[in-house]
Amino acid sequence: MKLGKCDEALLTAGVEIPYRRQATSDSTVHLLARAFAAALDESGFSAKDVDGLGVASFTLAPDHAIDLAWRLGLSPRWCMDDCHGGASAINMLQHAIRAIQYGDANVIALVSGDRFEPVDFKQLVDHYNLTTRNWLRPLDLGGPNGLFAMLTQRHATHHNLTRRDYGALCVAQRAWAGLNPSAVYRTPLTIDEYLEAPMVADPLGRFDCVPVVSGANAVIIARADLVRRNVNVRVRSLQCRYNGDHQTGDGTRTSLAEIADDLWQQAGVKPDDMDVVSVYDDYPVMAIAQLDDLGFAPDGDLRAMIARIASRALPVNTSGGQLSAGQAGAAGGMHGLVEALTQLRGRAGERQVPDARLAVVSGYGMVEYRYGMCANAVVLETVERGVQ
Amino acid sequence: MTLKVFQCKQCGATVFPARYLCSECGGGDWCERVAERGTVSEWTSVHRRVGAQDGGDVLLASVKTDAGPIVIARLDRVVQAGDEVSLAIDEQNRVLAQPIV
Repeated sequence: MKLGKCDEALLTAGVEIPYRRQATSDSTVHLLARAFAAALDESGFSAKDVDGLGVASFTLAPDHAIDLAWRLGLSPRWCMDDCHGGASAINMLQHAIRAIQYGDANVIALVSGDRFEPVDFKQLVDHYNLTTRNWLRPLDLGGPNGLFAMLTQRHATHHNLTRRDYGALCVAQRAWAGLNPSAVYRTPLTIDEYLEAPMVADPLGRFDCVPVVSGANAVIIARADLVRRNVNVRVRSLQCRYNGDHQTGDGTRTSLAEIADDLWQQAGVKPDDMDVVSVYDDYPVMAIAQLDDLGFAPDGDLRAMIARIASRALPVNTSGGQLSAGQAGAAGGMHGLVEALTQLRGRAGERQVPDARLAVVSGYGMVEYRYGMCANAVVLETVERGVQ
Repeated sequence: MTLKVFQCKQCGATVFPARYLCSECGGGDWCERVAERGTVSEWTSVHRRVGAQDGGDVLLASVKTDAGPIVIARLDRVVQAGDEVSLAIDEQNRVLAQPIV
């Protein structure tokens, strides 16, 4: 993405409908509608101002984005269904910014979310794609935990890490979650509790696997001259790369490694400049791998990087991340973006990182046979009206 | 049944599962190659599974096939990384790995 045009579109709202471990009577479409309404309220726009809608959801079927637009009373000039799971929010944002820059839309709402009963989740993990249906479902492995257990073994061997190192990230994120009233798990976690938790798939224990929740997120992006709020966020750079290695690697390196140089060069900043970081944390190994790929451990010392996260010298996943706040299906791809927006707009309450002005957010996901196909990242910056 | 992987006739790259076009060279002509054996790269015991038919653990392995690609297979008993296994597909389309003793 070319820098220079990016500041014509601003992110002006980011919300989360509180995640719930047990599905309530709210349907997926109802959760998405609630997220849309909350984001609209935060932005100061009315529904009549919205002329673009993007939707990411695994459980909205048989409805699509256009059905949701109809239910919301929208007449969009730009409408998008997204199927990139944990990479969906940044994928939609890439398109939304272009649409605004080139006049296809002025005010775009991006929403994502899912409602899961156990049977819905079983359906999702068994039929995630044809490869899963044909080659993984017959193995009766019950979702991707086993795949990421083996990926974690490869990563641990390669970087000489132990369960205690991965656990330190989970413990650090849980400490952040204690400051987030919306996180589903907020009770402080000790490293001993982490190590003693029941095994899910060696070496992954209970606290290594995201809790499945129901919920939704939404963001509003608008043409800069139209925003109604004084504190907004602009995109300094955004990069996506999918199928970086076509599943021929070992999965411990995401395609963020291929795009990191361009990302930082176009943003005109470097990892050290980041005040807040959100990386996609379906498993601690993937959060650590993404931070590594983005350049947060330039000397390759991942254990030292994890120590910086634990001390909050490097504020990572300040909502508690999905590991503590929960993974609401496709909303998981937007959770970290919403947290970064919340921090950059000074609305993070007790967990507010002082003077947060720059953030990087990554997305990752869509497992095809052995690991995720998709990775993307965006560098964000606070823009205050009158000083931009 | 034998496990088959797919080799690009143009550049020789081997893949599993099958693709339409080769990610290395863009070629679209493939030949099948039987993958009878492989080496266990990692294995894990999956204790907790979503909607499992039975309560038992599932032994799962990443196997580097002699033909090239890595496959995900069920094991019928505990192995060690580096062990040689034979590979086959059963009637449920499961890739099965059996230690070669």
